[in-house]
Amino acid sequence: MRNLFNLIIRNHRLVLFCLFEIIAFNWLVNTHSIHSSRMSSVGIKCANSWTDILGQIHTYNSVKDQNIALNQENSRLRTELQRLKKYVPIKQLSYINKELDTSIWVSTAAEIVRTSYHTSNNVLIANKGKLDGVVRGSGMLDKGHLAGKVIKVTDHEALVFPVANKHIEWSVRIGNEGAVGRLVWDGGDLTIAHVVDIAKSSLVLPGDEVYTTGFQGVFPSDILVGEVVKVAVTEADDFKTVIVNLGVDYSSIRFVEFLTDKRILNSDSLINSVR
Amino acid sequence: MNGVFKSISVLIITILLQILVFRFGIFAGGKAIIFFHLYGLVLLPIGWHKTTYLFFGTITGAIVDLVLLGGGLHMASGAILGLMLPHISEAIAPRDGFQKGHVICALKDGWMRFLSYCFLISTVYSFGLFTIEGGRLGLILFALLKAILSGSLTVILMGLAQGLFGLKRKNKKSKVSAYPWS
Repeated sequence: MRNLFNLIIRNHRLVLFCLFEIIAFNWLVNTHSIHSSRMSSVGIKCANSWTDILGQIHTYNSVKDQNIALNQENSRLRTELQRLKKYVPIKQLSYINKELDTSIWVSTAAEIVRTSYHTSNNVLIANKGKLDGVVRGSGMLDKGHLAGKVIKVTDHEALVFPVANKHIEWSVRIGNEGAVGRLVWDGGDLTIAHVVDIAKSSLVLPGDEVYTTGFQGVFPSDILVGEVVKVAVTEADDFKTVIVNLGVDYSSIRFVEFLTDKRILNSDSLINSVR
Repeated sequence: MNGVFKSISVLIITILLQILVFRFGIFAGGKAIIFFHLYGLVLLPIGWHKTTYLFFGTITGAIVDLVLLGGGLHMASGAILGLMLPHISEAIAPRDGFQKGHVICALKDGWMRFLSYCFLISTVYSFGLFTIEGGRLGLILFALLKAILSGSLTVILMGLAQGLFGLKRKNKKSKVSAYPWS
């Protein structure tokens, strides 16, 4: 308040000028009909513009709420779909008709609450954890695309390594029955990853789709990863590098689903016993 | 103090002249109008507190409005002029600036400076008045034209007034003689 008074005192000449002009204009509007009508039309225009702006803000908020509700419903429906898959055989992305066995794979809808995608160690935090059925090693899908793997879980949160993380690799297949290789991210563009260790003799063309192999136990096979954009071959190397455009967009990721293999503990103990 | 009273008296006289005589000074279908009361504002001492000019400008405009039924037009333009007046005097000031309390005069400051000051004051005032009267941005150029015409007309009158009443030449014959015996 004191600062306000100081400001008024500092600019008292301008304040007085505005006051005099207001008095003069008020006098003018009450005396001359042309000015009165002009002021009225300006007032109506201002009021209309203000109402229009308020309406637009209201519409935006309404659309935003609807969008959140639709995304949540979408996530819920995807979960429901996974549950129903055990009753109705569904066509997977490959040409083979097979069903995703929901007695093995459990789907859990979740929301990403924190992200970091500007470093080489990008991580995501989801709002579902151990108590919701998400365990270490669960896979994460975004709109049906491979998106990440759960590294740590608390009761209600899960730490996820996305594909765009330099410290994780993925087993992928080029095409439905193509060569198998390792999908790695080089720390550059978030939408681009590389498939390495592909034999030079294998036929890979831009436009081919890349799927999960299912060897890692994180995902079932034939989950879409992305699309081949370029194939890099060097004379000195026996392998070719396939550049893949990832299907998941990390800059807008929000509602996701986790796939958890119920046998994961058994599989892990089996592997550990061999080691 | 005498200078202050003198300036206010001159302002009152010019307002009376505007109300009684120059109110009929409307030419070219209202494109050129005489605002002689501005001469009183021209002759206000320079260097007063800036707010004082704002008060003088507004009150002068309000008085003219009250008598000539201007409906606030003169008051609004008077307030604009009152705000601008210190800046106008700064703009036309010589390199060393005006002394505090200096009243602009053609004899001391030269006709060029005096007429420029008058022209700027009357044009700013007229421009404000015609712009508010027009009430539309589309008429602003027309308002400027009218302001220049009215300003020029008012400047001619101010020049005449200054020539007739403002110049007090010193008597060439000195009262103290160099020859005491003469």
